[in-house]
Amino acid sequence: MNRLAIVDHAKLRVIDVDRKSGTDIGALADSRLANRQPAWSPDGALLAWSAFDRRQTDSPASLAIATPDATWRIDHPAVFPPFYLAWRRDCRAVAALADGPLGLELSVTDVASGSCEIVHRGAPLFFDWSATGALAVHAGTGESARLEVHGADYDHEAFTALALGSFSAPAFLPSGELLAVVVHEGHPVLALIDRAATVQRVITNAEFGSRFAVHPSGDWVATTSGRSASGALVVHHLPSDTMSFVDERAPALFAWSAESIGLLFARVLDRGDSPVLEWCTWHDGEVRAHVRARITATFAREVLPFHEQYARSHSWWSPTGDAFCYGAVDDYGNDTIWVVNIARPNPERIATGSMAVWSPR
Amino acid sequence: MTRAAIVLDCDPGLDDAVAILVASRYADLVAITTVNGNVSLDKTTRNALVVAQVAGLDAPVHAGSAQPLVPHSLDASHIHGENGLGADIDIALTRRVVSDDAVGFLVELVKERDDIHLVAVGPLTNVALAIRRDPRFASRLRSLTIMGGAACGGNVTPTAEFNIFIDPEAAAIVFDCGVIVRTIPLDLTKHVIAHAAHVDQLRAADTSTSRFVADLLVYYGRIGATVKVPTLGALHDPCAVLAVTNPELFGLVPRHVDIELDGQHTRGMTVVDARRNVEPADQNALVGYSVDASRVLRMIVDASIDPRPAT
Repeated sequence: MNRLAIVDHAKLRVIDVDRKSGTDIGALADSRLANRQPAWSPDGALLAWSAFDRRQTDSPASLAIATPDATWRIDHPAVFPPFYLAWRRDCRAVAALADGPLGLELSVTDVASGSCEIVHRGAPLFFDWSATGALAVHAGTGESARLEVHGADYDHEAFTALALGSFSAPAFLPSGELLAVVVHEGHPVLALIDRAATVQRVITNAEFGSRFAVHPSGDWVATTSGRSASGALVVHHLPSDTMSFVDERAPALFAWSAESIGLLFARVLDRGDSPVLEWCTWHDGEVRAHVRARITATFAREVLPFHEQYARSHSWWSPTGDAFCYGAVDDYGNDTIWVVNIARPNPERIATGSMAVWSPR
Repeated sequence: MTRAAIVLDCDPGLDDAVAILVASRYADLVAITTVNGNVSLDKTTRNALVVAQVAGLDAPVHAGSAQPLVPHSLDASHIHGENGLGADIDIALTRRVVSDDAVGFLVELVKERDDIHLVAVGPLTNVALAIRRDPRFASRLRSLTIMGGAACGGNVTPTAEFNIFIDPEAAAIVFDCGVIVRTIPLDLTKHVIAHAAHVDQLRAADTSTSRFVADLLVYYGRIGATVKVPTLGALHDPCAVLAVTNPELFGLVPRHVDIELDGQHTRGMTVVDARRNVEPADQNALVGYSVDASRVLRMIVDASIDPRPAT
């Protein structure tokens, strides 16, 4: 089904893109109450989000989980509202980043029981789930930065001993290998690492940092050199060890489609007045620019600075890979969700809202 | 009298450097956090460390956001110099940053302490990301003050002030965060102008910080001359600090402020609603319109001569 979870001010709505029908699942009467950070379970059966009162320091927050038709909902209390959620691949648990009494916390909540385990405290806690439920965590900053992998098949101690390069969200491949920026032979590189924490292959240098996203097949990796807008966007095909140049400037965001070998990326066009994002796709070596739009402030704050992390858990692509969604401000100044069918020329206005996430199924 | 506990979020920058000294003298400067803005983050952070070292400050420095929320590469190096502090600063830096996670530091600090006044004198990226991480962040602050915006015309475009223009998405988030934002705009700070006489005072005092600030002001004036501004330049950022420590020097009026995120000519504009029919519940800012400039300048000079806490 083509469903979008849409954040619209305090509300959270699920829209069936084909039928144009919607369900408010986080509807709250009080405008001070907020629902944000929707995250679809990998099977598309459940939606998790963060619910809280943004102006009261002592009011309850919760990790809310519901079916998309809102016929079932459970709220697991949280001390602080989570600001990022990612489902375990088996759909039975949700990892959440939130502040806690002792600092930033990465916790895992069991959906059925609500039992919550704090996996890590500290910063920055970028992470990824493996297919088998292992958790790779980028913990610590500066000289204490380290990669920790929590899972039975992995050499936890060896991973912890790996020296990390500048920030990046690690990413698991379906094979169980891990992509991360590590210091290898004295230089920061983006590398493929096996379960024993041995560098198997260097993908690219990361002297100036690197951002990357892995195609769900594990065969393709999109990278930018450096963390500024000056680095180029490049796609690596791992089986053939070949590389394709996509764009001369690093985009503000890039993400793979699950179903096709399609890369969505957003260029920042700064024309001296109002910078806009140009949403583009890359397929089979061809780049197409689809639409230019001004990004919503919510998307700019929630997603853009951390888009590699979102690429591990959220999809802007439709399940079939033939369309993508984005939030933009329309001609009347309203935050609006749009869908672009990549075979058609014009975007389609779907609903009001600042941010949308496509159901994986 | 208890001095206000201030965290200064800044992008040094010439006037940011002076703001650090002012905060040290008149407030309890708890920490300095840095952000990309006048120059790149590595330079603003280095400059904060330089100022702290020259002044002998204990306040820790935490590096923050390296890019605005929507990335671009604009800066103000044409005003503040390539390194952000004007002429070459020949200082062997011994101070180090405490962390490169200013956002995390801010969030954790205000959970531990309920007396923190956050004074943001650069682009509001760090503040917006702190609100993202903890939606209640702003409400935990004792107060939130910014140097930014302009009710009647900007300085980087005809309508936009630099700090807001660099990251308007962040500014929009801050003005929508549910607390009153004490806003010190260009309309006010343009009256706080350094003159040659202030440089003379600083040179005559001959302290490490007064010499340092005198050099900054001279550079500021030289640059100002090249862009046809007949003074040594407005000291924008120290005003935001003094608006917290000495509010009696400022005339602040409740207003509703929106940030223009679009517009061919108006992106980054602070739209200040001065109509009388704005409901008090809709007011989200205290906007500064007037200032006792001579007293403010006197306090700035005093802090530049001796940034140690005033007794």
